[in-house]
Amino acid sequence: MTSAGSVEQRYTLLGIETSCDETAAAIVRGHPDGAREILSNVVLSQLDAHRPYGGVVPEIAARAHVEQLDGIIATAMEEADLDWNALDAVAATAGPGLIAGVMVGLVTGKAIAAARNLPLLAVNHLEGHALSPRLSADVAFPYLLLLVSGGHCQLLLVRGVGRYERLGTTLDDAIGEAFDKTAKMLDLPYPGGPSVEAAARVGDASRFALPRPMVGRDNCDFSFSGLKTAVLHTIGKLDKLTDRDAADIAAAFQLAVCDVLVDRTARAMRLFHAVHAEKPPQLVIAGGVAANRAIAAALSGLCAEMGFAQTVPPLHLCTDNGAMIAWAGVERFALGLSDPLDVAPRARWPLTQLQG
Amino acid sequence: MRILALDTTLSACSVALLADSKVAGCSSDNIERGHAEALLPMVMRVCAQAGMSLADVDRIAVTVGPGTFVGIRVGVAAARAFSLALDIPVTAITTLDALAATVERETAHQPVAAVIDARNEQFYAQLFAADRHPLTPPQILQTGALVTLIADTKASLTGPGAPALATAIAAHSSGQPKIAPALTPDPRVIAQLAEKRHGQRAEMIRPLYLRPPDAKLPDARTPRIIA
Repeated sequence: MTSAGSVEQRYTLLGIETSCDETAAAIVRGHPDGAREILSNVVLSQLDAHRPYGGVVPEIAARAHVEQLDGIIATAMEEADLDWNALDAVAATAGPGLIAGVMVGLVTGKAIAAARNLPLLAVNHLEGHALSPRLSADVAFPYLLLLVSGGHCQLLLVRGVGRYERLGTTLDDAIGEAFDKTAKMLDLPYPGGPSVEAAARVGDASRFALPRPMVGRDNCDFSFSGLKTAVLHTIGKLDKLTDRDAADIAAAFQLAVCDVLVDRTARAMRLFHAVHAEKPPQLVIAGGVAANRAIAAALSGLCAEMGFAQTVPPLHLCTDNGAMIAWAGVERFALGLSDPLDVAPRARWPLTQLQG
Repeated sequence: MRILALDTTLSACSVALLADSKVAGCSSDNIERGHAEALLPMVMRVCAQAGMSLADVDRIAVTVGPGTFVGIRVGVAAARAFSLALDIPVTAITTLDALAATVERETAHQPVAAVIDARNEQFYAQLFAADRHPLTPPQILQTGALVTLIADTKASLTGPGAPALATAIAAHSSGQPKIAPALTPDPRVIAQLAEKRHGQRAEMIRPLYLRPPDAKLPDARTPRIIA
């Protein structure tokens, strides 16, 4: 039994992430005493390239990844002040995500591993998020993970490296997607997360009544498409959508999302208690939506009420980054795991299909 | 000089290793899909066949398109990563150039049109003179425009689009163009072409898609700013 974050031997890994619209590379080192260091963490956002389209365009993302990734890796190596010989292995996201982008990062990782005669770790992007709290803090297994991002909305029971139980997931839109679509309907700028949050701050959440999909259901699943439709109907009843209306609808939407997250997470917390009554209860929140202050405050309140310790990795480790991929690689490599050079990129890859 | 050549732009996955102008290893598989899985193991096999390691390679040669977008990126990503990790230059070869060079012997002293089916009644194409001097840039053309371009040149056709284009040309005129069959570029030829050219820094090695991403801009509306 090892303590949180400990590895038998010091390992230094390059991590590569290209599964959505961030081109990212990082160098992370894990020490035998459990200490870990982020030696560099370089993220290039493609936000400006996708903004005119109101969402991520997969082919545009893949084209940018292939032209930027090697430069980002070179910068990560320079900032870490490392020679290739200092690396012990190469970790790259192999899915799930936008397949054309995943392919660029995985092939790049394979080629570097082959060229430098290093082991390859084909990392599940969701596992990167799931293990990221152990990179920034001493978080021991097991813990409850709420993963909220542009592409995902899941509640997971994290028992160990490669050992995940999915308690619930979204039946339709990811939570970040729901923010983006709501922003679009309200004529708010892309990306919708920050713009809806800013509008909601000055809005009256009580003026419009919006539904709380899935609340009270006997599972931990999410659904956001009904909420999106309700926003559309609310807008349709107005003569003209003023700034005031947009702010009020944004506030009502964000409050509904908070209520749904709190209800679903509370149910998952009770399941955690039932399974791990003897363990100190912990909730980790990961993914870019963790940056939303209203959501963070609502979940803090829930943790206090339910007696759960709360960990939110710093924002730069919550949004997509190479450090979490390198760290997942360190954790897997320390267990003696690695992957062959013919490993396939995967658009879909549930965490429950992982081998620990 | 040892040159490692890669081609994943069309249906095949191909690798060759040239050492001092001699072919030291070569492999090509018409896999149609799965280039991201097949390429690196193939590189390792070809190196083993040549009794070398990747550390012995002095330069990478890679086809940069046109071809499938996904396939183009597999080759370019691998080439740029090798360049970074081994600190060696890369020579970019267009797929059309490589196809024309692949049929050099069969088409000696004749003009050649290298063509790849681009779907939607279009072809990626480039016309080369008898001495292999390019007469056009690599371009994407409607079938009709390409038939007109090639009509009086007596060019032989090569590349995976050759049979389809030959049918289109025959339908427009009485002449039946000669086909020099090549479904895919020969990776040994790619390495030989690179040997005659300069190597470049990896950031200069950019995909040649010849077609913009398929993405429509939404109606332009000025977003409201609420803060």
